[in-house]
Amino acid sequence: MNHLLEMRNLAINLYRGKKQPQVKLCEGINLDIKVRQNFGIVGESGCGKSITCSSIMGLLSYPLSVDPSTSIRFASNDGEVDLTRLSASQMRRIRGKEISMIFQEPMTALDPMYTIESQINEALSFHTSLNRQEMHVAALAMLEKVKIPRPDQILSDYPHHLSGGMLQRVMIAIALINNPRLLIADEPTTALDVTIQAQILDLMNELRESYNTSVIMITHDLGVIAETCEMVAVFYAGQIVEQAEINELFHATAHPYTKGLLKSVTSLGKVSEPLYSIAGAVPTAGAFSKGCRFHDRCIACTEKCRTSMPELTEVAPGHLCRCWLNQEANNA
Amino acid sequence: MKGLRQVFRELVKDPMGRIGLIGVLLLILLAVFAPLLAHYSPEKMVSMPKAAPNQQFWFGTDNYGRDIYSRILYGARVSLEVGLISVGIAASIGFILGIIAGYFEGRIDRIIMCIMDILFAFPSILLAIFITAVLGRGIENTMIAIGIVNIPVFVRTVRASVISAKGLEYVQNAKSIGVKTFPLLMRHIAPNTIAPFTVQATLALSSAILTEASMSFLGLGIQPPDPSWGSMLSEARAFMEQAPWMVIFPILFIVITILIFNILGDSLRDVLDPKLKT
Amino acid sequence: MNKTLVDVEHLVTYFPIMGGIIRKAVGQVHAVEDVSFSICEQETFSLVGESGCGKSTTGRSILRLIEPTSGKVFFDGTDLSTLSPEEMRRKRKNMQLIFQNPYASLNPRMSVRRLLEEPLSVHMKMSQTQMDREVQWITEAVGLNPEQLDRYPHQFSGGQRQRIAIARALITKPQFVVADEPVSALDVSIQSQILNLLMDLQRELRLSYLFISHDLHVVRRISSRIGVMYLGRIVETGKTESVYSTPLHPYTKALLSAIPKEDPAETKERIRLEGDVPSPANPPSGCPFHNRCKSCMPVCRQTMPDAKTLEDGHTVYCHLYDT
Repeated sequence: MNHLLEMRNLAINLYRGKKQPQVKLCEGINLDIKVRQNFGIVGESGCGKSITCSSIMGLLSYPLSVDPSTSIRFASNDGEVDLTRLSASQMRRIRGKEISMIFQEPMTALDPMYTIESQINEALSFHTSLNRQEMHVAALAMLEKVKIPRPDQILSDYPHHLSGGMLQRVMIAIALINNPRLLIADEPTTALDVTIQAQILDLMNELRESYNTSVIMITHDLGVIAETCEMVAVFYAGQIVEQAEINELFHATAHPYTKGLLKSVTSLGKVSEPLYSIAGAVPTAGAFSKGCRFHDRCIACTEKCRTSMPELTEVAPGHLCRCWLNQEANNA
Repeated sequence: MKGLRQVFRELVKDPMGRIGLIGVLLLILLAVFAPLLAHYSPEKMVSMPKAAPNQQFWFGTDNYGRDIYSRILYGARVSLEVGLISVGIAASIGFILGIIAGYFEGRIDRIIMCIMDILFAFPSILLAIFITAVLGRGIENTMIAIGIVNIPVFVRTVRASVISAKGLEYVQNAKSIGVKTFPLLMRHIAPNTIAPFTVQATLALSSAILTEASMSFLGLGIQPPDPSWGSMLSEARAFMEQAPWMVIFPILFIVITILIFNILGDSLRDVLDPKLKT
Repeated sequence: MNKTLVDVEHLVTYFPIMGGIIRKAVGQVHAVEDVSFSICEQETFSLVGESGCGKSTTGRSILRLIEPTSGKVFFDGTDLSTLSPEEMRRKRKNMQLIFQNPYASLNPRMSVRRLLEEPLSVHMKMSQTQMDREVQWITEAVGLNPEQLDRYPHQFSGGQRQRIAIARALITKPQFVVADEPVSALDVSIQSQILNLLMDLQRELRLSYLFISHDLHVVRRISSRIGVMYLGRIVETGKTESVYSTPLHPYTKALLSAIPKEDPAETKERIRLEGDVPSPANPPSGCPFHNRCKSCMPVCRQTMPDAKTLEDGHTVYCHLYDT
């Protein structure tokens, strides 16, 4: 296997009772994550970006489930495994050790009843055989790495003593303490202020260098993507609509949706009347059109877009796009 | 917010809810149609005293030769009547006080809650006995006494939901638009209290029925010859060994009644407010 | 320059910290500390700052949804602090608030029609036909489908709900609207729709906005003047373009440099701020920013800097500009 993670044909089903058919919240998602790659997933709320990553972690629960046709192959320390076929206990051994995750809300992701030290120890004690003293040393060293001032004092503090930025640093410390191969960051800076966001993104970039960890960065903010990622997949309504290397995506944008997103962000900075906006709203799962899912908001919509779904095809080396416009341009 | 019809539908879907609903319905039917269902007048001596249950007297007869089955049916009437009216008193006073305490806070809140805490500190039966001692015996006074005893729980429930509703953004929004205090309370705040309030009322009903039975047992509630499950028990106490049926049937009905109201209350809570589930 | 509509003078709002058995105040959160600014007719003034800087509290104190501790707010010449609660309630017809989260700010039990009729029935004596006409007008103005008026808020998407919330705030034709982070809860592609709508309505209805946001892109786009807040105080205020092109206060400089770049190819010199914002319950002495400031001087620790106005109304509170 050339990649750290190969996701093939991911589909996530939503069970809606016996009488109604299952709804596919996402389908046909293929992702290849290279070792040490910083991979960005960008999309609006409900586009399926978070559940895609929960399915890697095996954290989907009723009524959501991964479709049996999916395979998620992961190069673990003990060889290659398919994450969708692992038992619960095998998955537990991978989770937190080889793949870990940081969440959007550091305030709610930490347990208010325990000290920072015992929450770090929890991550350590399950995956290592360190004794108390060694764990304390490891925790202290880790907090220093995430640049928390006065780490010995912070260890005995409770989450409510710390600010949002500090808590997110603690979350990163817990996520990285077992030296994972893959770190999934689900909107890690959305709840933070801009000056704190800048600190956290800098920290994550530095740590990725020193830990050799691949990162999947989930966000709705193209600015965060521009700051951190090498490769980007744009999600829309449960599908990947465009995937490219970062500079290619920003400069040779192919999909009308990505173009619209970029334009609505950049036109904010410049004073031009009026603001660029994409009309309409994101369609909801179960009400997807059989054609292109973006067609009703697209400025370049044709008859073909309404009736049949375009495939994700390569428009330039390493640049994938799901749009009839580009495919026709290529064929002609 | 769930509509009445949806609440009902979900209640029926839940097996426990179904049991509670059917039980309560049966009990109400028994009470309403007591005159038709009863074989004899509840106060008439119709046979030998202390006759064991037989085909004629299903539940046997008591020490005066009155039909226990008929007395139980009429007793259900008394129990439900006392329960409903006293909970009605408690709920309406409790609702008003709870809204006032929760909305205005400050001194009014502290005064109301202080009185409620004092009421709450007494064991409910003792307090009810004390109030009857002041007001005098009789069915009306029993209802008032039980009503007063049940006020604090309603005030607390309503106050708590008013305070949390006040922080809701749409309540703030209505305030910023300039909605007057009374419409603000009725339209935006009070609907949030309905779910916990309804659950509380169902549960209070069972405790009111129990309190009435206990008071009647002690001779302070319903006065003879009016049939009440509690006073029936009280009379039966002396003949427990010779005529156990005199004890068994009233107890059975008290237990079943309390049980079905509690089952209904719990199920209603699950349907109305899943967050309250413990 | 248009005439001044809202004038805020030395606004202060403290929240008591309750403690002890008898619940008495054991301390105070200095949420808003000596804030002054004015907003002209048909102008958008923005307050920007990070969470906890007091920008929302300022907005609500102006509307007296939170009672300010001291200071004065003049609205169209009237001193709001002298009004009785009932007079204030009537004044609300002319000054409205748009909330951040359209999922929470609309009563889920009321249909859109009732939500829109409520402000009318509160402030104006109107017949049903007049009300229908007004509802019709605002529905079109905010771009809602009139056929969906009998639906309930949960049947709409986030952007649509924010349109309903805006319609509800504007149906009484107010002069002044406080918009508290009106687009932060929305998706990027929807944000621009709502911002465009707010700007269109401003022109159409001659509105003045106090726009509160942490999003520096959004603020730059929508406002004519801005005030940068830090720890309850305005540290810099001026015309939007002059603050963005020549930020004066060290905090404003850091804040602007922290905006994520728009293009991966762009190289950006970033001023890194160390540490966190101090607690407003225990604000530092002197300049509120001194413990994070790269150019902190001894005087900054002791005295709060005065306002220094440079050209064109660009004002800064910083000792670096002492003469």
